Amino acid sequence: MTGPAIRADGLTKRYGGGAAVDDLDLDVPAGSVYGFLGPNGAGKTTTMRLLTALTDPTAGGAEVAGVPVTDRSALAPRIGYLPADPPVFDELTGWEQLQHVARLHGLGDDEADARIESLLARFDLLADADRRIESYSTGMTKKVGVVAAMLHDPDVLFLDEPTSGLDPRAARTVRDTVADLAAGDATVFLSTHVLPVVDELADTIGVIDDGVLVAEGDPERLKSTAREGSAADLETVFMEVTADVDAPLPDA
Amino acid sequence: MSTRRSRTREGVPDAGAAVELARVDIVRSYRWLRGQDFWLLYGAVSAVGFAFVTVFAYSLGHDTGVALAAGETPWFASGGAATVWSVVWLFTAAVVAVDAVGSNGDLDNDGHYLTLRPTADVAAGKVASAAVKFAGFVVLPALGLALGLSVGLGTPAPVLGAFAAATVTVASATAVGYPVGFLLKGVVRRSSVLTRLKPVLGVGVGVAYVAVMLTGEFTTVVEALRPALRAPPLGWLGELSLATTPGVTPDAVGVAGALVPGVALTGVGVLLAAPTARYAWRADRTVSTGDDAGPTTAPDHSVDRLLGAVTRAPATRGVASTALLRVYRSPLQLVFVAFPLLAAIPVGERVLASGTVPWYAPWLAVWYGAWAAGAALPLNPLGNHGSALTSLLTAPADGRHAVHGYVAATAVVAVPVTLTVAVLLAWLSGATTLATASVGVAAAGAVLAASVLAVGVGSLFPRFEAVDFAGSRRAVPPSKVAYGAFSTVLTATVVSVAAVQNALASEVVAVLVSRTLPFGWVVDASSVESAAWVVLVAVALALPLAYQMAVVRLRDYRLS
Repeated sequence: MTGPAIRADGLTKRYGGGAAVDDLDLDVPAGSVYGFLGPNGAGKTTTMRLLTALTDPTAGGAEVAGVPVTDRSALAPRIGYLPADPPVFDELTGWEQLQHVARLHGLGDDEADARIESLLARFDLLADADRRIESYSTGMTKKVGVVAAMLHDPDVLFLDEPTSGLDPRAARTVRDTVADLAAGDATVFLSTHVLPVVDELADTIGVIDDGVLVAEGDPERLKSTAREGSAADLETVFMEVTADVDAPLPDA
Repeated sequence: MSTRRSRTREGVPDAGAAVELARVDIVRSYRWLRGQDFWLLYGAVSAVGFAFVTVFAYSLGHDTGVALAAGETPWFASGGAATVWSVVWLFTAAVVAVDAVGSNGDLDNDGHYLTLRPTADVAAGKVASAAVKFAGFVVLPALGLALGLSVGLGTPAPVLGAFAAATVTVASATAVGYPVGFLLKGVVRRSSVLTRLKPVLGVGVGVAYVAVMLTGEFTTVVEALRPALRAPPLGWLGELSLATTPGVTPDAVGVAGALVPGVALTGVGVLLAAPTARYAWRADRTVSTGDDAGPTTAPDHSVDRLLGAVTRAPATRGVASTALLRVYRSPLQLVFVAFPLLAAIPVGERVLASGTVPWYAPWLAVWYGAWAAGAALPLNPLGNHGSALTSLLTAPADGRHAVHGYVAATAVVAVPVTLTVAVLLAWLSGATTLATASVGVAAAGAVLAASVLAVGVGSLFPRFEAVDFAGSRRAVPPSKVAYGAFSTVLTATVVSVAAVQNALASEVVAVLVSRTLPFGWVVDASSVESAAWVVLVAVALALPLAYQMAVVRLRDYRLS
């Protein structure tokens, strides 16, 4: 893939009078991990929905993997998306759910089953794959969602809180998987509240607040610019750039 | 260490805590119900039914009052009241027991209350809440009866007796019914066989109840049990209900017998609620261990193989296979298409009684088969996916695959079933071979056409809000607009097919339509047949439109 994996230009989404996402510009290189941070309700999920063609922008535009987000049929084969609540049917077994997603992507059963088996084994879920998802724990359901998002080997993967609810071993598997994907050609757009995950994986971090991208850069640069150059961690950066301008900083 | 005080706390409920638990339970139930349109509709239909019961009770009371005022001894005052109140008590106890077996008898919030209060308080709260919820079903008809008696006699005195009998009935029946329900719940939870059979048993009890009610066999059952129903202790409730009614000489033993044992039974029932609740709530649920025979392999279902033979694209097969698996494993979705079957019970009874199948029976089967096929799955192609809709929308599968998938899923099940039933009924009704073949073709065609029509209508009017059933089970019905539009068009289509195919049908339609027309206008059978052709041509033109509309809508759908 040549050119940026994700490019947004003045991307805006308004609901009623308010802007959920306001004039967002993004330029995410291919093969990188973009950490997307923001307080609850800042516009992270809306941004992901805009970039995955699940909702239409009010203004501006975007391209993902070189495909305009207005062209969903061309975009779908190039992207994978894991929403915060994994999109699964409780009545299906883990394997049936993944087979269903594979078929929606047009994969033949033999090819799909081989890939499903390999990914289930990687996520330590193979032994439970013939149990219905309604009997799964939160973490197991999340694993099914992660596998489903990457089943068709997408160019760009959008992951919304992929490690929430996972035990440390499973969270490590997800982090390793993201790193492996980025080491190849894939691009990962990662939204999470777990700042160490972003700190460890992201090549670039964007912070959105009230629909506006308030900070962007590589983790080290963001840390060094926080608090007039004083050494800071990512949490300090987050607190600083998303703070109410009239409210004192926590350690002020 | 267990002390006498702690043992008492575990066995005897604290009234204040129980009332607070019941209050919160009732408030939660009320707020839940406000957001449940399906249950509100069901409640409204039930309310109409109970309004009839109340009016009937008023009429009964009035007739009894008038007779008593004239110095007569009507049947209600000479044993009839005992029968009626006994039936009401038994019915209330049975309904409450079923309520306790269901999710209302479960612990909320994963048993958190038991970390706050003793089991006795929580169980008593459940009993009190159930008593309040079911009180209206007894008290309102009782007040209707008392009002009728008062008007007939010209004095409000009967109200006191009727109200006392209603109060004792609700309190004691609930206090008995809930422990029985808890006990059953505990037994079921400890038995893997009963746990597996629970849905089947539930459906069986429900069908038996509806059949007994609709076929009029209820009165036969009451008639057979009459001696037992009039005997003490249940029969004493009748004495209590008429204790303050002028013209009836109250039996002191009966009145005291209803009051004292009634209150005592309520107390004992509330005390028994604690150990039976503990028995139910602390049961280690039986868990199916499954066949732990070997390594996990890819799923292989016969219905999936069948769909693989009739579909080409993997996405079409995926949509169809998943839709059928979900309905099979969570058949609550079928509840929304089961109601019209109740109307078939009187028809079935008539068929059994007369030994002949009427000419319209196969057409009813065609109509119901097509309607149920459309309404069960394709009528909500977007809402059926729930939170998994994003999987469909972010996949290369387009609208065509989704539409084909829903139609295929419907066809492989509904076509053979509808065709078989309709042809069998046509054959039994004595239809000619040609007419029977026509019914068969119409059955298959109607199911397929209904599926396409439904997916078109449903894609325009999706519904995502689920209806809560027992436990955490939920199902998403189609929207009311989709239901209405689809049902209207389908009914018109099937009636039109019947009218052009069967001369008797067009004559019946002409008579029925003429009855509804103003100014004495009438239509004849040939006009009906012409109109039917117009409807059929319109539907034939609408089908490709519905298909195209569904394809575009599913392809371009965006989340709000």
